Amino acid sequence: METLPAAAAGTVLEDLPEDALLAILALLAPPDAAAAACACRRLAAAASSPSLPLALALRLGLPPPRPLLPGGPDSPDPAAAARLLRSLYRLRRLLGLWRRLPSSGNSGYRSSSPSSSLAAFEWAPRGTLAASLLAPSSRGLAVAKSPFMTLSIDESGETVAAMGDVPVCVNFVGNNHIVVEATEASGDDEDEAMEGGSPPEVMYMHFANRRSPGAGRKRRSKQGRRRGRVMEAEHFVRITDAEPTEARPLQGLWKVLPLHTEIAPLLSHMVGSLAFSLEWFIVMIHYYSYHHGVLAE
Amino acid sequence: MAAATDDAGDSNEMIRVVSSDGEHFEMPEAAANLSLVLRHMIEDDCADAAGIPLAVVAAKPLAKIVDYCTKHAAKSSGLTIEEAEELKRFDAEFIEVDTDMLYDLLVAADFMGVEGLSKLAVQRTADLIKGKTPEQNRETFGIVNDFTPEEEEEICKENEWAFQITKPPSRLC
Repeated sequence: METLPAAAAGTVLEDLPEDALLAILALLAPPDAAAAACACRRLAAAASSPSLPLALALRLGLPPPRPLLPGGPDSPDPAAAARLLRSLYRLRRLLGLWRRLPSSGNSGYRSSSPSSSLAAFEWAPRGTLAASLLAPSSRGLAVAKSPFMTLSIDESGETVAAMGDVPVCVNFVGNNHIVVEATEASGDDEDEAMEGGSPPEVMYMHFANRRSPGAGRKRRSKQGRRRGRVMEAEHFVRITDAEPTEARPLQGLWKVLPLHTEIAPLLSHMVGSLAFSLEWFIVMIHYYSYHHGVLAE
Repeated sequence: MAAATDDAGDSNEMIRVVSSDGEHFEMPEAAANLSLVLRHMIEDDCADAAGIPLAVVAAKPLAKIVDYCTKHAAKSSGLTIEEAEELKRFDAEFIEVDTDMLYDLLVAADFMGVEGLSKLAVQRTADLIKGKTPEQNRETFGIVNDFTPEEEEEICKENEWAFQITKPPSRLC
């Protein structure tokens, strides 16, 4: 009873139980977790532990990802765990509201109506991330939500995305810009497609269409064509101030009622806000209150 | 030690606990119930006048934990917005401790199964790590760099992908 086991000896961060270290790392953004991992061996081991993706999934409120489910006696493959961790970070980065940039041409794919320029990425059941297009409904404050894309994590720990039955890939261009394109299920071998030779029409597609900065998108175009229609890359930018904060409780995303669409440009002019369509209006300053009902439905 | 208020729970019985260094503390049963370990001991009738011994929790962190549990048990249900904000302020002040106490709280909260306190201490530690370089983390937490130069180079290379990711907005973390 006279000894002070932990306190007197001076506990240090690396002496903490692994559970606690994992819980701490799961709260951190990748650069911070990486900086912690580079501090000492103990933290490096925790950061590369196959249990970290599980800790992160639990923190995100997701069910245990399939690659980590206790299906067999073998411990999870560390490389799969690392892929899984990246996928979880990736899905987490997509959460929120995104604005679709106007297409450079007439894509003809899905709805190209200007009213569906807003996409919401939210967690859905079974650990998937669902993207829906939001459109102002003509009925009062209601907002129509149409499924757009689903993202999940496959057995190998990779992110897989699909628009209906068409596999797509979602690439980040910086943190606030994503490009959605048709792809094959295996996303990492597009460079092989570059060398594999492609029909001229595919080559033409590659240069004619606006693409993300990455190289080797031909196979995706081909895939898009194979499905019977050409899918043009869709560009989205993040809406960074779509939620009220304590300092700016009134900022947010507003729906302009159908009868008053003409005031959007006027408001935009008056308060310096970003209005990206006549139907949606983002208030970047705190003069106008945020209407919670807008996105609740 | 914070005093329990009348709405602390149905039972006004006080539970005694003994730290690893032999100090005695008392808290209302509702407060003790916030700890999974203490709750099980109470349910098993192990809470007697001599107090429940907590072999790995020293007096200093235990005093803080008793404080935390008493405050939270008194405000456990039907919180008004003001009360919720007050509890938030209490938590923010409560966790403003040095890293030694923070580790002790992390270990003790984990051992005693006080979920709210575990979360608070984990969040505080993560907040202290945020935005720091590996060297700054070593300074803040008194970590000794035990990598060989080769290992350090390797681990930095392994984590390169993460450094290239721009940080998401803070509310997503």
